[in-house]
Amino acid sequence: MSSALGHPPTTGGGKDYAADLIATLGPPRWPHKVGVIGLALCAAWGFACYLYQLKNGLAVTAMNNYFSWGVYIINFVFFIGISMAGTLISAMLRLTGAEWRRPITRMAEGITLFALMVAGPMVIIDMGRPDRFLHVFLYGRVQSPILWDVMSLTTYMAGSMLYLYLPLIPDLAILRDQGSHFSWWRQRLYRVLALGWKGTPAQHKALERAISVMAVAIIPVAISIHTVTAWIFGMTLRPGWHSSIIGPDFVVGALYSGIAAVIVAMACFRTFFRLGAYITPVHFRNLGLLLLVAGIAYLYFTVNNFVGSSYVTQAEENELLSSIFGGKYSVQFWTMISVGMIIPCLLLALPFTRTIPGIVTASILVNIGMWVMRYVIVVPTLSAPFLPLAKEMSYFPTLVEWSITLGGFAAFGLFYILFSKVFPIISIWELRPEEAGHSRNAE
Amino acid sequence: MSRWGDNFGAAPDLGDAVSTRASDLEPLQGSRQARAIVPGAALVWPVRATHRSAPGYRCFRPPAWVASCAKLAHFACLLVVICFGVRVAAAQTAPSGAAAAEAASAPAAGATVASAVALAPAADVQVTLSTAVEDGKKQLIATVKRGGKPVENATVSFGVKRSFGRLVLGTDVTLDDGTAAIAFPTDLPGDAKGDLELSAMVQGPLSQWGATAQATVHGGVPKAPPVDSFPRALWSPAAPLGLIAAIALLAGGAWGAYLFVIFQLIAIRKGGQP
Repeated sequence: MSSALGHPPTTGGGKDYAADLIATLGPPRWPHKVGVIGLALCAAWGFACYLYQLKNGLAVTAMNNYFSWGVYIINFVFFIGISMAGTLISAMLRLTGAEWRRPITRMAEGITLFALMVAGPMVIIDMGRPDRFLHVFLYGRVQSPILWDVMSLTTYMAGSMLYLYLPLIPDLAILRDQGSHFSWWRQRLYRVLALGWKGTPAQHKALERAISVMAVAIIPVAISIHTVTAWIFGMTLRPGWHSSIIGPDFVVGALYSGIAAVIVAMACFRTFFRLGAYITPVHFRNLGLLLLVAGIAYLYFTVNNFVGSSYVTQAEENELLSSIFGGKYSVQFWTMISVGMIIPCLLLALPFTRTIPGIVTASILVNIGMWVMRYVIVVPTLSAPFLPLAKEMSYFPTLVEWSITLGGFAAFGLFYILFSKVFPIISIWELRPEEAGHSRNAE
Repeated sequence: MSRWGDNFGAAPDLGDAVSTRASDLEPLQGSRQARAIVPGAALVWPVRATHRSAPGYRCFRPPAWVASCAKLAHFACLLVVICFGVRVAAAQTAPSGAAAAEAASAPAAGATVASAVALAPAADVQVTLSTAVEDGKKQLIATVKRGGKPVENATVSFGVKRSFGRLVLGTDVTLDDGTAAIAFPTDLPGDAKGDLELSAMVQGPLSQWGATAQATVHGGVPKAPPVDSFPRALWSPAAPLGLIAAIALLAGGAWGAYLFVIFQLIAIRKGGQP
């Protein structure tokens, strides 16, 4: 077959890797169909529940004048956290010259974009009057962290789209050159998006330059979104939130959950797309070790946060800590500590559990634990206000909130599956030995 | 948190302070219901939500006996207010001079206070405020006159304006020359120049109540308003320039990089053309 790269792309050590990867874009097998239908139904149910909430107002949620934030903001922070994956795996590993990253960069970049596509609407869902979101742009105050967050989110989303698109261009040219192998709409899509790529030296140079600039630019943008999201909490002077290290704490937590999300995605693609030849135990082991480092760092930040708070003599801080450590939020807190930190770190640290099943199990536990951690961050603080309560208040999401949450997670999975059936989930051109050698020389 | 179904239908004793205002209604968890909070009591009275857009919602309708009690309490309060008003009007139209003084010293303390609150300042009483040095000590002197004649035995209260009201410095009774005096405080913080806004007000007898003199007097401790080197940005009408510059720099840097990448994409497209 002819190639946009100027030579046959099927020279991977005697293995036809391009054909393998192009084959993943073929007609879906039954697990994909079941997955897409199931996720689409869940997403549709979540959307219907949102329409119900839109019609009846936030009275259908468990939020009230004390718990002004609920599960939607928890989801927002969670998805913002796992969106860190693309930046870490792709940009940081690219800049540090880690060659093993090549088969997994696109998965990570996809997680970033699709997580942001779910995280952004969560803020609007949380608003009783979503039409007033426009007021942020019309009447927003530069001093407000809310405005900073909106700016960071849009900047990060635009950057993530660009950063996902750039390494796709040579692959799109390869797909374009497949001709009638694909349906007409795919041919047209690939032709438009490939930008006339022919693999000339000038095009290679421009592409490498653009990717390098984006790899550098996206890292501070990613850190800014996590930091600014943390500042929305930290600048409210509320017990549990008003901490000087809440920004770095969120960044490290995002790294932790982001790496775990990439490992889970890798395991899914390795299993369902039969990509075991490309996503090898080396990738799991390396990312597992990164996950272990991030987990230990996050444990350190968590201990730091709570030890500092426990020495404060303010009544509100004491009330909050007692409710977290031994009160009504202790189950969630200790679940997060055990399931989200200690057990995964043990699984990753012990050599005989540092296998693919062990690493994937640890990653799933990390993601569950980090969602619970977001719950522990948001809810207990709101239950310990400075104003005295008429009676003890509590928050537990309603069916509508759970349904919208389910819809959000389903939409994330649906976007990801659809993307992986339209675009190659593993970069074809970057696997060429020539590209690896060229990249090494450039670095 | 108690749910609607837990106790709806039971008729709790509401007392006399059931709030049914919209602002006091809170949604219960997971339901389209609300409750009315009874101030100062743990008792809650669940009511149907008044969410207007929700289908099947009903407006809050208190039981008939609650509405009757509320109306009775309302009329009782109105009656009490009217009685007080009549008494105040009677006190204002009472003869001045000795009769008023007697009224002011009447044993019914509550009635006196009510009258004092409603009285207008005496218009024919003049008060002047001045300072003088006697025996090497600075004095704050108020002179009370009525029809040009000094008023004796009038109680005068001296005060100074502070941030949130009038701080009483002391009181004195006028002598036969109509003067009352207190020692001028030497440690009062003033404005940046050390000026104080002092006042003297007649507080008795009742016929001369409220006559006031004000004067700006130098003699306080100069105290410049604190200069906040890093004012709270959130409360200021405009963002600090440094903040705007920092945000513009960061956002401009990121979007500038994106612009550069878009130029590279254009170069890729041009590079593919024959």
